[in-house]
Amino acid sequence: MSTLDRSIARAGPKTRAKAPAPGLRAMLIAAGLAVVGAGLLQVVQTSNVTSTGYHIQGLEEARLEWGARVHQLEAEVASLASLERVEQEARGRLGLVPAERRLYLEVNAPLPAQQLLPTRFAPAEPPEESSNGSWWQDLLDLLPFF
Amino acid sequence: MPRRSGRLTWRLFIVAVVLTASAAGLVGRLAYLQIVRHDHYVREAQGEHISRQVVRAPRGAILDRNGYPLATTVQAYDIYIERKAWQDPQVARQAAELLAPIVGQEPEAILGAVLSDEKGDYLLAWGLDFDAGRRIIELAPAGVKAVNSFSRHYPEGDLASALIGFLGRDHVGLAGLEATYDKALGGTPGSVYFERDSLGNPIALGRRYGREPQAGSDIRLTIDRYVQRLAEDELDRQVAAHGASGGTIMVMDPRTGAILAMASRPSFHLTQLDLSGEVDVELFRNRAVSDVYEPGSVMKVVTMATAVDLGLVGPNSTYYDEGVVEVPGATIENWDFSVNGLTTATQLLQKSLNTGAVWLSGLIGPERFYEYLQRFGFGEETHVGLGGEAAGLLRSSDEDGWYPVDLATNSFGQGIAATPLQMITAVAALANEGRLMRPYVVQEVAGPHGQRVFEPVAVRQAVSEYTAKTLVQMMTEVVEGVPYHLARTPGYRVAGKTGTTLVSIPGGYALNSTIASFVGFAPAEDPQIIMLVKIDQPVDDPLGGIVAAPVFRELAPQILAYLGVEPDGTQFVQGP
Repeated sequence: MSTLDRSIARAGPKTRAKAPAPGLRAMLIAAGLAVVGAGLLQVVQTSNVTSTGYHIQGLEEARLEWGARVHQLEAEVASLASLERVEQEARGRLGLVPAERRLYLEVNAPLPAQQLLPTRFAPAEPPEESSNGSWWQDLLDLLPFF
Repeated sequence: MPRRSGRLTWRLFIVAVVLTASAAGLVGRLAYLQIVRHDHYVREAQGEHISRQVVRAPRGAILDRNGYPLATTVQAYDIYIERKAWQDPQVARQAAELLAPIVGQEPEAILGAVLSDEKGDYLLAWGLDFDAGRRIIELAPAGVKAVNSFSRHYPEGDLASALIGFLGRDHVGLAGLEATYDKALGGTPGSVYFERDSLGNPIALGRRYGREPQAGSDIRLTIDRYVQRLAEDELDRQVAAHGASGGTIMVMDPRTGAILAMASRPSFHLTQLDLSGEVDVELFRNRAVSDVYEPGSVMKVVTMATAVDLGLVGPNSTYYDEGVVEVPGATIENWDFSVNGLTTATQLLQKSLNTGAVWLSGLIGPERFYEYLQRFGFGEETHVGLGGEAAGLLRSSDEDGWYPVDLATNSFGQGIAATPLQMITAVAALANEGRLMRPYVVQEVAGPHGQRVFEPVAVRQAVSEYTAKTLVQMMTEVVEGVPYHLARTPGYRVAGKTGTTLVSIPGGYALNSTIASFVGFAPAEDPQIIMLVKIDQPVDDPLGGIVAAPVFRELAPQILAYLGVEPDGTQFVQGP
C-alpha cells in the first residue's frame, strides 16, 4: 500500500495526494476479503463434508446394526413360538399332559385372527413423503457441483 | 577465417530430422498410452488403489405352510487374523488373549494355528454370533478383521433336517432344499469398491461406491411343522420300539399332491452339524425320495386297480385260491401259506393273497400291466422338486432280462422297486378320483422381484373315476371290514393296505429281515390325508399289519383333528 501511495504522490499534485483513490482501496480490500472468505468457505465446506461423511458412515453402521438386531429379534420370536417351547410351556407352566381320551367339540365362535411372524417380503408400509427440505437446500440442489 | 554459411547443412538437417522424429515418436507414444490405452491404464491405476469387497446377501428363510420359519438367517461375523500383523510375539499374545474367551478357544491354540508356515489371512471363526463379533470390533485386537456374514438359525431345531439340508462354509447349499433352491435362497451378492491405503486398509473419506446386495427369496413349503413334528416323534418312537434300522413317514394331501410331512430315519441333527470333522454322508440323504424299496403287498391295490379299470374284475369277482400257483420259473405261495378256496377280489385284498395278485396279472397280461404301472408313475421321477430323487426300478416285458415270473412277482410288489414318494403318490391317485397328482413341497417363492406360486399339477388320469371309487371302497373294506385291523381309527373310516416285503440283498433276499409298511387315507368317503408308514427291518415283528398299521391309527386322528376334519360323533357346543 505504501508503494502505491508513493507512486501517486510522485505522479500527481499535492492536493490529490491528500485524497488517495478511496474506491480502489475499498475494491482491493473487498477483493482481499473475498479471497479470504472464499478460502474460509472452502475450509468450512470441506469440514462440513468431512463431518457429514463421518455422520453418514456412523448412520450406515447404525442401520446395519439395527437391521441385525431386527433379524436377531425375529429369530428369537421364532424360537419362542417354536413347537418345542410351546410344549415346554404347556407341560411346565400350565401343567398340561397329553390327552388320554379325545372329545371333539364344534364351537360356533370365530377363530382368533392368526398372528404370523413378520416375513422379510411382507408388503411394507408405504414410505411417508419427506417434508423436511428447506428452501436453501432446494436452491443448492439447483446449483452445479453441489 | 572462413565465414559460416547461414544455409542448412546436411548435418544440421540430420539432427533436425532425428529431433523431429524423436518428438513425433514421443507424441505418438503419449497418444497411444493416454488415448488408445486410456481405459486399460485407468483400470490398472484403480486396481492399485481401489479394493473390492464382496457383500453377501442375506439368505432367504425356509417357512412352513403357515409361515413359521424352519430355517432363517441371522447376522454374524467371520473373524480373520492377518498373519503379518502378528509377527511381534507380544502383540500376537495380547491379541490372542483378547480373542480367546470370545471365540471359545485357548490362546495357545489360536497362536499355534495363526503362526504356522502358511501365508495369508487365517479364518479363526466362522458365523460367529453377532454380539460376540461386535465385542471383537470394539476391542480391536491387532491384525483382527471382523467381516460381516450370516449364519443359519433353526427355530424348530432338527425338524425336517434331511428335507431342509444345510450350507457349506461358503454359504452355498450342499444338501436338501438349501441345495436345490440355492440360487433363489442365496440372492445376489453386492460389492463395495473403496480407496485403500498402502496397507490395504480403507481410507476413511476416500471414494466408496458399489452395488447393494439383493436379499434371497423366502421359500414357503407345503410342510406343516405340527404334522412334521408328529411324524418325526412317532417315527423315532417306532424305530426304537421295534429295534428297526430306520423308516419313513409321509403325509400328503391326495387332492393336490402337497406334502404335509416327510420324515425319514436315520438322519442327522441339523443343529449339531459339524462338517469340519469326519461325517457320515449316508445320513444326509432324504430317504423318502432317494432310496428305493420293494413295496410288497401295497402294490396289490395298483394291480387290482388295473384289472378293474380294464373291466376284468369287480369287487365281487371270484377266483379259486389253492394256496399255491405255478408260474414259469417259480412256485408262488401266499405269505401265510393259507389256502382260501373260493375268494372274492375284495377278500383277495383283505387277506393280501399273493396267488390272487398272480391271478390278476395273468388276466391283465404283461403289456397292459406295465403300461398301467407307468401310468401310476412307477419307473420315472415324480419331479417333486428335490435333489437326488430316484426313478425306481421297473423292468417292463419288452426289456432285456425280463422273465414271465417277473410279471407274477411284480403284481404283489416284489422284483420292482419304488421310492416311498412314488408309492404314496400312486395310491393317492386312487383317493383322488383316479388323477395322479405331482407331489410338491414348495408352494411359494417370494423375493424382492415378486412371488412365484406353485399350483397343484395333475399329471394324468391313471384310472377312471369309477375304478378309483371302486378301489376306495375295496380298500375301506380292507381296514374296516377286517375285525381288529390295527389301522382302524376311531371317528374316521379308513381305507388302506399293508405291505410286508423281504429286504433285497445282492443275489436274493435276507429271509429274516423285512420292510413293514402301510399306506392309508382318511376319511375314506372324502380323503383329506394319505399317509405312508414304512418301518425298516423291525426286530420284534416282521409284518406291516402289526408294525406299521398302528402308526396310522396313532397319527391320523391327531392330524385330521388339527386340519379341522370333523370326526363322527362330534358334539356341538354353543359358543359365548
